[in-house]
Amino acid sequence: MPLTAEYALLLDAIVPLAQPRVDYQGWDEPGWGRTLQIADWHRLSPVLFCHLKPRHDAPAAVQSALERVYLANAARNMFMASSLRRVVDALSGAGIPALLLKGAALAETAYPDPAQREMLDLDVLVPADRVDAASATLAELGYRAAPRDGESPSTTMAIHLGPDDHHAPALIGDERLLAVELHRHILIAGEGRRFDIDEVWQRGRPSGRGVHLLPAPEDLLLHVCLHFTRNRLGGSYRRRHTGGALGQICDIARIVEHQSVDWVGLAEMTRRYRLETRIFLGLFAARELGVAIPGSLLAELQPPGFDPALGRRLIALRVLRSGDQLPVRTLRWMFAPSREVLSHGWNADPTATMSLARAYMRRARANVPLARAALRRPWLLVQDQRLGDQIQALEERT
Amino acid sequence: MSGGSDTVLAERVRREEGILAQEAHGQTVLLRLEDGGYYALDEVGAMIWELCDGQRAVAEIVALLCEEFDVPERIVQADVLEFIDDLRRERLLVLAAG
Repeated sequence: MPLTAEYALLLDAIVPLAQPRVDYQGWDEPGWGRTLQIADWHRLSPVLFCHLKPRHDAPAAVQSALERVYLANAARNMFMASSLRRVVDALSGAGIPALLLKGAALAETAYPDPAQREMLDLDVLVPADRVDAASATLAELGYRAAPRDGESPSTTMAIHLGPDDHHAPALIGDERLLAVELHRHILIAGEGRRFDIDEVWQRGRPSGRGVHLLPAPEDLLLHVCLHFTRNRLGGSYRRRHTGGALGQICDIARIVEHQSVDWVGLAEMTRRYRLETRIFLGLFAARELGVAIPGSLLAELQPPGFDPALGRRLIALRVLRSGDQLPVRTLRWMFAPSREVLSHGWNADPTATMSLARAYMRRARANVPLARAALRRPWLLVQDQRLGDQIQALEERT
Repeated sequence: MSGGSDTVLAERVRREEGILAQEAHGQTVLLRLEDGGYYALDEVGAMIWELCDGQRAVAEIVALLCEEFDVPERIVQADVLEFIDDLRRERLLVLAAG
């Protein structure tokens, strides 16, 4: 896989090889500047810091800049861990089971140093019929949903959860520093209709304190791969918080390194849920970039008609990219967002046409830089679009 | 007072409530929950932080560090007092009651 020097260094930080992929001695300031920007985009600055620190050979200014991010992240994660403890204790007190998802679950299971994993919010799975009760419980701790467009701040804790929503709107803490997302499912509408969320609960394992549950290693991988092929591939221009897909590769690498994965079980459930393409693409990309994914598993999950050249193009176009080089997901995504996108991402009331229209305009204004960036590189836009179509065709075959 | 310090050797200091501490790649990060302020301590700072348990007098902490590191007592004493003063000013340590 051809790599730029900056991405080679990031991969050395994620999955080191006996012989480093790149020698960074002699890099100039712009080279380090690009590396820091890319690491920041993919939320890998803390990982890069921990890779470079023991070597003592990166420029002091680089080391110092990365150390600041690392320590700030360590402090933020401590705050989040403390908040999480209050959240799961409260849910447990109310008799509501809670299973951690995404960053919080990964930091607790796959990252021996949790300060290396950047997290934005806390994602907690609760039983579908307990979402309202969980929301009311968290309201007592000061977590409330932001009012929707045209809505006055709500005093009721019943939350707007449509039939297609897999999680409730983020509940923001009093201190405005942290959001909690209550999930009732890990898939969104249209994904894996055979997926049984009850099985995630059954496979869950108790946390060290025994108050909440953690996903099985196979579910951790499955969820990361689903995100890898869902919103992470496209990202959003200048919305740093969407992060880059290389962060997902790092998650996969850490799960494989620190968790005991039942590969046979993973293959079996992936087939049963008819999620082969989604999971295969994430794991294929990870293996191509050096993560120890068994070749036999990939052979088992490989969708019919898959061409490795397509997989490598996917990595080149959608993983080893950052900033304004990021692809747009599809033209349809740019110009015709769904009600769900407008409702969740842009605070619209999905039942009110005017509210949806205002949200559409807000989103359109925010996406002007994305559209401009896309228009400056029409050929890449065509490539992105073609890649998206090819992936969709693969998914339709399975 | 000792050598211009706010802290006296016979006093005992303890960690303030609402401060979280965690080891992070060779450093100890302290987080003050009240306002989100955070600090990083090196290995020696982390050792003093751990010893400030409200049970030991500052003089005992100095003696323990002198045993650990082969450094003259007056230097250790000055450094420990300055460090504890700094952390008291930052509301990370407080005098233990009694």
